[in-house]
This record gives sequence, C-alpha cells and structure tokens, in this order.
Amino acid sequence: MSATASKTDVLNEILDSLAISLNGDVSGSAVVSADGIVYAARFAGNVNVDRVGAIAATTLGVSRRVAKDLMLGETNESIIQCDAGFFVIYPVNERCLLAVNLRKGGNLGMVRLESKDCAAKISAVMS
Amino acid sequence: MSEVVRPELGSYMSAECFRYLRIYAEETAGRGLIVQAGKQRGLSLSDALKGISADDTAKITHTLNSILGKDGTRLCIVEEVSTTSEGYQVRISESACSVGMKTATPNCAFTMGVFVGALELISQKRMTVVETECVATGHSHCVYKLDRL
Repeated sequence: MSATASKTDVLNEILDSLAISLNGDVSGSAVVSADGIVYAARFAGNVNVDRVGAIAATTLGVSRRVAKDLMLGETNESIIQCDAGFFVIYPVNERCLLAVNLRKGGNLGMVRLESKDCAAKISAVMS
Repeated sequence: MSEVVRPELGSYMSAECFRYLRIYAEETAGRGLIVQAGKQRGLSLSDALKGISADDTAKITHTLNSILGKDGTRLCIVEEVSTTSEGYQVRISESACSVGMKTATPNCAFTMGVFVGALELISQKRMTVVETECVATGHSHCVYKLDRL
C-alpha cells in the first residue's frame, strides 16, 4: 500500500488478491456499505455495480431479518445458488459487507476460507 | 421514469403513506434498499445539475432546494450544502423521512441517499455518508456528512 493510495485503491487490491487466491473461481466481487454504497468493485463492465451494492445490502438485510425473527442468531453468510454460479455475501462488520460472485463449479469451501481472511483485511481498512 | 400524471390528485402524496412504505421495507430488508432508492433519485438529477462546480456550494444549495424543496418535490428543505476537508456537509429541515418520528438512531435513509447521488454527480467522486444529526433523534435539523472515499 503506497502512502498516497486511497481506500478504494487498497480495497481493490484486496479484491484482486481474493480473485488470485481462488484461481479464477471468482467472476466478480465488491465491498459495500450496510447502506448499499459501493466502496470498491471488481465486476465486468456490463454489470451495474450500484445495483449489485443495493442487492447485496438488501440480501444481507433480509437474511438478518430472517435470522432475528426465527431466533437463529447472527448471520454469518448469505448464499444464492443459481444455474451458472453463486452469489455469496459476508458481513465484514456492522458497517460493511463483502459480496463475491462465484463461477459454476467454483470451490465454495475455499471461498469461505479466503473470504474470512479478506473480510478481516477489509475491516482493518474501513475501521 | 415516466411523468406522473394524475388528473385529480396531482403529483403529491402524503408523507404518512411514504413513511409506511419506507419503514416496513427498511424493517424487512435493511437500510441499503432505501438509501440506494434515494441515490437513484439523486442520480436522476443529472440534467439539472450539469455544469455546477463542485465548489459552488451556494449554487448547489439553491439548485437542490429548488428541486427538492417547497417549490420542487417537497422531500425536504435544503438549508445548506457546505464543503468540508473530506467532502460535503448537508443540513436540511422538514425531511419526509423523519417528520413526526422519534427514533434511537438517525432515520433519513431515503433523503440521505438522494444527496449521495446528487453530490456524487456534481463531484464525480464516490462518497461515504453518515447522518450525524436527525430530527427523529431530537435535533433541530438533519445533517449528513459525505466524505470522498
């Protein structure tokens, strides 16, 4: 991290590292505030990242509501499984989250492990 | 979005109805959905905000108040938009989000999002935002602090 790097630059580096460590399983990722504001994102150019931010924050919000109403404790992750892959959301802390788009056949176990490390790094940057 | 055409009722609805929509959606899905809806409204103002300098806070205040205030859509009265070392501070009153409400934490999810969208357009910078004062928590005005990332 250079002395002049913005938080966005640092977060983008963290997202790049996550993609590298998962050997191409990740097709997109984003760091998003609890209010749905995108702090950093690595998605293809045809993806509306503002929309991804809103969806990720809303999905986690609904998951937390389900967990609360059904007395299931804290939400640790939220997964949407689709024909062509997964969309996985991890709470980083109370103020932000990590969203990861995983290709079909991607190693979900590795994503869980790597995303936990990634979330710790993001939390340190955003504290 | 298409123009609102209601021959008898016109463009406006009660802040009370807006409040039910907002609060129930927020309780179910969290603030992100509402803040981002507000941001999309702010981003929709691109034509009106075109050419305004990021430092011309008097013009920003006047323009946003003309769009959102008493002579506009009546979301809130824009009292002042000022610059800070990190970005902007926005002070408003009579926000449709907080009118008649008493909450433990700041409550202006939609209105705050509108200013995020509008000020990102003007500054061409992504912003973080926090509501530092809110009428719903007992303050005289609602105040948003927007910092460049």
